[in-house]
Amino acid sequence: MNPILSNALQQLVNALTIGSIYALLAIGFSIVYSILRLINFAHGDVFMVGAYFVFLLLRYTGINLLAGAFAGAVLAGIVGLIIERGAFRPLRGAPEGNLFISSLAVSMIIQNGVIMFLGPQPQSFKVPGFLGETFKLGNVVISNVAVTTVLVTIILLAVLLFFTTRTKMGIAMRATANNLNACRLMGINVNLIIAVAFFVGSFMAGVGGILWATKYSIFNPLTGVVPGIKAFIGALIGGIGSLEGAVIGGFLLGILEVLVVVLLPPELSAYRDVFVFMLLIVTLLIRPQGIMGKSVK
Amino acid sequence: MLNIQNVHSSYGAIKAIKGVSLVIENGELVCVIGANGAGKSTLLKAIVGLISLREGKVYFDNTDITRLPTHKIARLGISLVPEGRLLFNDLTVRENLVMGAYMRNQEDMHHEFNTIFELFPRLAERLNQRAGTLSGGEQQMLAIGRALMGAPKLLILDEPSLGIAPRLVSDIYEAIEQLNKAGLTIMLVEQNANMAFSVSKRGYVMGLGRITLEGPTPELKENPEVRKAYLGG
Repeated sequence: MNPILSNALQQLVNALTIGSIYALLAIGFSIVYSILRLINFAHGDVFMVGAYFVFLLLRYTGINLLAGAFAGAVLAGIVGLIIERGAFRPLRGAPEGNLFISSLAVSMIIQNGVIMFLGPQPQSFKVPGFLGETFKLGNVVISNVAVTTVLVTIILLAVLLFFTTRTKMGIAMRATANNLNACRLMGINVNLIIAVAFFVGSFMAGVGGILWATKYSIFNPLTGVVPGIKAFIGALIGGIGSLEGAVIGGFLLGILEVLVVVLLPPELSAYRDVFVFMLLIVTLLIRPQGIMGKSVK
Repeated sequence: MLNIQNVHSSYGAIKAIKGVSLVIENGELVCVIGANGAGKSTLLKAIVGLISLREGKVYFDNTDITRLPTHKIARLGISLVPEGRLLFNDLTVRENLVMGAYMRNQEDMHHEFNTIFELFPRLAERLNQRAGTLSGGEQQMLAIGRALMGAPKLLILDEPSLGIAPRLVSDIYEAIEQLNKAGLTIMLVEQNANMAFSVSKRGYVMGLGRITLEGPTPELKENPEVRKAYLGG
């Protein structure tokens, strides 16, 4: 195979893997924002917590990886439920700034809680067997983790699409984003729907965190911060509040990040985030509402 | 069916209601007319629990619903078609109707779909269109259709003629009459007294947060104050 082509393919695999994880994380930002107009800064920490849950489950119980990953994601979803109930529901109707500050507080509580109980040191997460292996397609080396990441993301996105367009509860989730009072008039318990939205978003973030830990084999209590900010930016580029936008934005960010690394001279690649953020600013200057977003009222 | 006793509430600085009492019996079509700012919408919001009462009681089928949350009041069988319609603009016509039937099973829902398409054939043609792209009149039809999907015992309509082309207003009023003839109890709140009187047998007149007059529609029509204020002399 032509070396330029194989390099390009190699980078594409990278971009899709990272993009998948950003997309999974961006969805939670967008769902919550669409309903509560809340930028939930604790969302990245739910991502991190998902990785810790799986790590602990695998270490202290005899559970297998697949069941452990599922349990970890469910536990991350439950953390989302607790955050909603404890930090956001009591503030329903308060100014948006108050909710935002509350989410910052939750973020610090989670990070410091993990540091307190498990220590600040990075944990290594060596996945045994199949996921640790790679295969070659021509000259392109593809890890099984990369394939798994993309597949898991596609499956979850399909399930989410089905849920939000074909089930009453999923449609109600989109309806609450349009008008909370109208939902109440239909007999919909909006507190329940909001809780479901947090669970769904946090479950997805948990899966993202687990995939991230599997890919990089190492994580620490602050692992959620940078992916959290990037996924938030992905949601913003895509048009915050739009689920399709979050997915597109997440993948776009992954692609941009890899492109910048490939195109920049090697001595600048350490500054790749600077270039990615510059592109973000340009995007938002041209299209302030994001790619899929509705124009700002 | 609906019994409101001495209700006081406030919403914003001026839109207050000060001691409103009214009764709607099973099967009736009762109108409440009043000028802009008379407190009509505030009263309706208070009935369905979207704003809280400072004083007074609301009974529905002899159940005290005064302090119930809105979604529980809806589940008891009161459907409000609110001021400004409050459609789910990003959802399709079909999805809006499905949301109206949130509390009902699949079979009942499909049956109800057909009833609503008979009433408003226009909606059937626009099932997969987003609600936000409909015309004003079609949006009002959808709002009423969505409320009917829940099979309410009492339908409350807040200004169904507001901002709608005259031809569609008569379509909507025809549907209202038809629904009442089929046995549905309706509370119709309007600024447009002519239209409201044309379909109802009994009515209330509201002004500055109070009921100022009540009685059979023919009497209200002849009342000099009503004629002057609402019927153009």
